[in-house]
Amino acid sequence: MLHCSLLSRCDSIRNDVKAVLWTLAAFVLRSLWYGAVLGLIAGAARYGAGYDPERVSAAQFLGPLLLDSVSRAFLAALFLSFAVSLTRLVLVAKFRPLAGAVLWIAFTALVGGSVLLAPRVREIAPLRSGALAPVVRSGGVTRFPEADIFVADRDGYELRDVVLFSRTPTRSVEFVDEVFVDPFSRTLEIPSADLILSMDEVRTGPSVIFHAPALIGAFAEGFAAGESELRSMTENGRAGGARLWIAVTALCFAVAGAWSFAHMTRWPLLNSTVVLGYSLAVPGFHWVLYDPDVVRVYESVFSAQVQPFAAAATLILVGALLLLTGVVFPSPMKIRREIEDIE
Amino acid sequence: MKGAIVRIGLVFAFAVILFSLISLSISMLEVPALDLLGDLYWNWVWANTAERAMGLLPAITVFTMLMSVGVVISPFDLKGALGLIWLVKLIIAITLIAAAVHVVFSLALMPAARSAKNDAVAATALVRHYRARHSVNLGEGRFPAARRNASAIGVVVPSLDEEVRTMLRAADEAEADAAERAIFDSEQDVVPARRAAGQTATQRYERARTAMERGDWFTAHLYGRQAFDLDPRLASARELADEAWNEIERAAREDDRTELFERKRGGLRALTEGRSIEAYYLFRELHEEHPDDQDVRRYLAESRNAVSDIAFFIEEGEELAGLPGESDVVYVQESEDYRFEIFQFDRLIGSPAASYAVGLNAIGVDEDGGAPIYHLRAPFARVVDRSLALRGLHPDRPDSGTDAEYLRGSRPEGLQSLLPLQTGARQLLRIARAQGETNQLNAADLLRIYDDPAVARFVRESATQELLRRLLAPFTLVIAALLAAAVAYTGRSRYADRPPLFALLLIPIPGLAAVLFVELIGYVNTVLAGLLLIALPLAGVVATVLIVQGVLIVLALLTLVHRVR
Repeated sequence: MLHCSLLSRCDSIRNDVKAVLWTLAAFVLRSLWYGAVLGLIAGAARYGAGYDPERVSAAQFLGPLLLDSVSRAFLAALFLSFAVSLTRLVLVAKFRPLAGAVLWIAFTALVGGSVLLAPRVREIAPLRSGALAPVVRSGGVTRFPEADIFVADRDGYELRDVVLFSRTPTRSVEFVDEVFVDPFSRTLEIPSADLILSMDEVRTGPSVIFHAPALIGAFAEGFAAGESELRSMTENGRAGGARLWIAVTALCFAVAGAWSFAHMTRWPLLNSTVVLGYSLAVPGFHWVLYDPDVVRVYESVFSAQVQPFAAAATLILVGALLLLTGVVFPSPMKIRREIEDIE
Repeated sequence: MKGAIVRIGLVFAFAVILFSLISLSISMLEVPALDLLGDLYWNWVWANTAERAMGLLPAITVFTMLMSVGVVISPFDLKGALGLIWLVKLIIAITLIAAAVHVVFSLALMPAARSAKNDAVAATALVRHYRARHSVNLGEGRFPAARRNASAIGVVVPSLDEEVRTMLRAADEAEADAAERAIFDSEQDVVPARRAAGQTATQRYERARTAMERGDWFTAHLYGRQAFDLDPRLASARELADEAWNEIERAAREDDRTELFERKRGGLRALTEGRSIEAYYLFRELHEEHPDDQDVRRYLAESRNAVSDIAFFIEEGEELAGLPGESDVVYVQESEDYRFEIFQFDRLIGSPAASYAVGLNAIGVDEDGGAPIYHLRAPFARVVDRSLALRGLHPDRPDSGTDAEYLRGSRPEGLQSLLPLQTGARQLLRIARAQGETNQLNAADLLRIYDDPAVARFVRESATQELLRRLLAPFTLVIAALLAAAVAYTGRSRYADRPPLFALLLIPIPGLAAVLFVELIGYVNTVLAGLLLIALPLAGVVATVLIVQGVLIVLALLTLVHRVR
């Protein structure tokens, strides 16, 4: 009998390990797949927006472009994959808390690693700065929010015989012999009119078709801002590195609070939708916690030693509250049993 | 199963109501910025709500799939494999019906809603414009014009009848106090000339002969000369014109009103020799002195018509300046004389009668580059056939009026106040509208812009993008709906009975997810089409896009079948 008990225990441990490894592998593979798809879409849009037949041929920068796009999309792919993995944990045959814990640890490690290593990955095959700056074409009008410009001739980034129709601050017409497009800052400066026009705000031309819709664009910008905010923490040496990992851990813990939503109701689709929305919204907009106006609030509430970690503490608090809320919802094992009974 | 269909119908109705309420809320938030008058406020709100709600049909369909397949249709409805087949067929049928309805919306109902919105905005601008003109006309003693302005308000917005009555009363009282009739009042007596424009040489010759028979020498000479100018082979027209002129000279010698005849003859000569502005002022002066003279009234109207080919009357420009139109329009053309000519209009106004520009900058650049050859500015311009008339005439004073002001250089003699255009007024207005929002244009107009690259230039891309967006929309709906059904079935609810209140309160969340999902699928489709546009012409892009959409629909369908199995 002792022998049977030991065998049963060994089987259980073996199954646990299998489940953990399977969850981990699925999460990583899913992250890579989502990263590749999102990177491909983003890369295609960037290529189309900056296409210029007079510039270098596509083959010269297609590889770097894809690598750059995938590396930038990987962070979002991680959160997306974590959300999907979290919802699938509820639907597995037997819920294993160990799998969930290992999943979270891997998720946190990959998020921190992505923030740190993505720039180095891009250096493997760097995309030339300005390779995809939007084009100003000659013989036509390019429309910006502040002004319209007509360019008679173009030679690369040099625009000649430019007619500027300004709308702000007052309406005026001006002739400029030469204007240079800065492909690095993606701007067009006209000193005589005290204007700096951003190529990313062009309203005409082939690039317009590739502008992301409002909601998708907002998420993309939020992720970029959040990633930038986290990476800026590493600029203070080892102390910055520690601060980064604390911030990443807090962020991932807040996202882990979505676990409560994963078994919130007996409708998996609704649960998944809420988990997905929450898991993308938190990293997409958590950079707000580092906004100067919000930092001023921290300064009035916390001491100087605690202030650098106030945002992280807020995120941990949110995650903890959500996880505690989960106790009022049916447990995953109960939901799984009821699903099997119904089906 | 019938019960399931009814429930799906109810879910769809719920989705329509939910999204319509959201659209209504957004409309209520947007409308205050427009500052619309009276009934027009709600006209705009309902039209905007309808347009938004119809535009959300793909999201409504996806939401219906999520709710129907995920919640409303229970496993007990399906009853095994046959039930699952029925479910897939039902999903496909709903999706195709929704796509067809979406096409109808895009082609007919959404443009109508947009038009109603634009009408509300335009009517508000018109009413404000007529109010301002009424004040100006009253102040300047133009009482019939002031009354017309007031009546026009009543036509545009009938619910403002009280205001119209007040304005008419004000005009009557002001006129009663006025010492003399307004200048424009006399315009009412001018016999409106039937434009001979468009008449053939033979038709004009017939008119000349008829006039000759009744002794109207001036008319006979005018139309005879015009007939000969149109067709130099018509020698009889020349003979008739000469004979009529001889009669005029004979009458001038005989008649006591020699001076009047001399002046009429001078005016007619100016008119037939193409000096229409000079002729207009001559006949204008004659009309002041001899308001009952039929010849003078007729030729005043004729010269006014002739003037409209090369100039315009500034009161027309001032009357129309306040009307809604397209703002910030830029048009570029190449010509023999200049490498590029760039026209920038502060506003372009199109009406059935004529098209006007308010605030024009015109610049000519030549092959050698450097400074522009010319730069002119004009406060008003009228689009006449294929040219821009820049000279605005005062109805009475030849020395007043507006004209082009040359800030740099000049244009050739004879073309300083008349700029040739390489397109007509209609195409120019289409291009102007496309520089605003391309969704205002119908598919035929978009195709006309696409087919005219030399004229359309940078607007052509906007038109192409809009055409592709409309083409892809039904396919986006089908793909998104099929995928949503697959996902909904996989994640369907496991409630033995109705879901609890808590779950029902969270239903708007899948609604938001539906909007995002449709947006994402649509964006992927758009990026694909945009990349194809780089390499292929529009026809090739359309063909390729249709094939790719077909493949994607098949993949979505296979996904659905796989999930359901």
